[in-house]
Amino acid sequence: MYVGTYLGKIYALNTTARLEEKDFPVGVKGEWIYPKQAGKNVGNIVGDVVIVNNALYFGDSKGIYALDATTGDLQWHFPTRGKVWAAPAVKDKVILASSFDGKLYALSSDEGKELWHFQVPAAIASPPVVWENNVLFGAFDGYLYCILEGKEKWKFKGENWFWACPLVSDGIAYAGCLDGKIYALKIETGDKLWEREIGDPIVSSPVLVDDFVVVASEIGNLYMINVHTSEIVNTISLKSQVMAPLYQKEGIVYVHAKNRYLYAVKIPEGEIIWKFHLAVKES
Amino acid sequence: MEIWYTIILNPMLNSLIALSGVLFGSFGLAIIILTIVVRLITLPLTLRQLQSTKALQVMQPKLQEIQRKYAKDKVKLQQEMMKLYREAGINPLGCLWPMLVQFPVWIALYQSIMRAIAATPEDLISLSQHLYSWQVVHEAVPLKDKFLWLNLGQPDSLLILTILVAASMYVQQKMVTAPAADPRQQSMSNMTLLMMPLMFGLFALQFPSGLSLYWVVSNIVGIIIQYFISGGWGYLFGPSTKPAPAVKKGKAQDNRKKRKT
Repeated sequence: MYVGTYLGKIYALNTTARLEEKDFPVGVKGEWIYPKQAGKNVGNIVGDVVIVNNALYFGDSKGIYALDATTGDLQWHFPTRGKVWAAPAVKDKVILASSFDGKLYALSSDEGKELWHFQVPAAIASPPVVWENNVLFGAFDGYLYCILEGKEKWKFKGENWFWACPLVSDGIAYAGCLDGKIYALKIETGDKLWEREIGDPIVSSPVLVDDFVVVASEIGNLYMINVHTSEIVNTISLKSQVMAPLYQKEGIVYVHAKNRYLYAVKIPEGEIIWKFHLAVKES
Repeated sequence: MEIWYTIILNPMLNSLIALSGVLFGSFGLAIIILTIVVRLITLPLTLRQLQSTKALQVMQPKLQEIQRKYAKDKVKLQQEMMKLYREAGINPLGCLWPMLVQFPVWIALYQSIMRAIAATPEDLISLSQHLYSWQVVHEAVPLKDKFLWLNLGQPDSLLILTILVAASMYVQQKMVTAPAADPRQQSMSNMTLLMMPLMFGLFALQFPSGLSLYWVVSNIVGIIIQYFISGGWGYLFGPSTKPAPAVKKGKAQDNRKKRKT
């Protein structure tokens, strides 16, 4: 398991070693920490780490990094003028990363060399997502952009920033916005198929479960929206702020809320089947 | 609370961010410009305050006479003093108005600075809910919190601003404070002169340097206004700081010639 922290460290954790509560890091079990030196940190890490072909990619407040996922050794670092708070996307040996300097960078995965970049007039905090060579991301100017081969294909205007990573499926992008709406857009043309207002900013990336797009509002309400009719079929309140991306598997959506609970919610019933408190054990 | 956001905080916040966007992304410059604008808007109040202060100083001998005469009758003393103020057309609280008007400005500016320099994801998302739909505002965010040696969201660790806040406030007050004739009153007056600068100096140690920057610029603008209104440095360097009238060169030479002959 690989974890990045706001204090600027990347941890590679072996779940068996952690269950056995061995002293960290257990090198033979593949555990490491980056940067290795005590007291040395990279910048704040806000987005997820991404692992492809034994390489780990992440961004911090200074740029984009590639580490060897087995040893934690630095392979390359690409500095940016703005923070990289979003997880990079990887497609065909190209790393796509968005930055607060308003650029979407395309870097070669082996050397970290810039292949191209696309500039927008505002900061980008939304992670990029790829659908059949189209790259989608949102920016602080209120636009959701679709880029093809480094050029703008279309852009769609919301009423506030696009912060969450858009969900793409079957040629449709479901984009949550800080204006409190979720938009369904045709990726090929940028046409709006529907929009649904939920009233509070959407920070967390939505997920798809069968015919339902599940989206969490910032104040902790979970909405199940029928993708064909755009109707809200169910809502539950977790009563805690939700900013982390949602995750789904086999009809269960997992939500990490600010109250440190991890919830497992059955879709579309909206039933919380269990919750777990992620507290730090004090010795 | 909604009224505070709508009428005071959001306009100031968006103005600051828009100014930063126009001024090459410099939040520090935006604070300086906004300060000058606020001082210009409150100039009529400032001029009334200066007039009130001056008039109060002129009235001092009469006030002291009344205090001596009615020292044992507090009620009569108050009545006679209010009568004197009325006859002179002075409001003794007139010097407080600029301070009272600036107080909500300080609070709004403090809140604006803390919101605008949004350092965490939560702060940025919260900021997004207070922004107008002006494109210049959305394109300016996130703001740079650095200005010269300062981190505008943190107190100045080098204490330079602390000293500037205290010193500029002292100069501004000293310029308009006449020395007291009575040595005992002079000592009280000196203490009062030091109290506000020391207090604001202490504030500057704890509050974000963006707010201290506002205080320094505001005080400097105040000093400039006072200099031009009063025609000089006032009481800064002593009882009388107005320069002696210049003697025409030709006349002085004539006088020396007359004395020689």
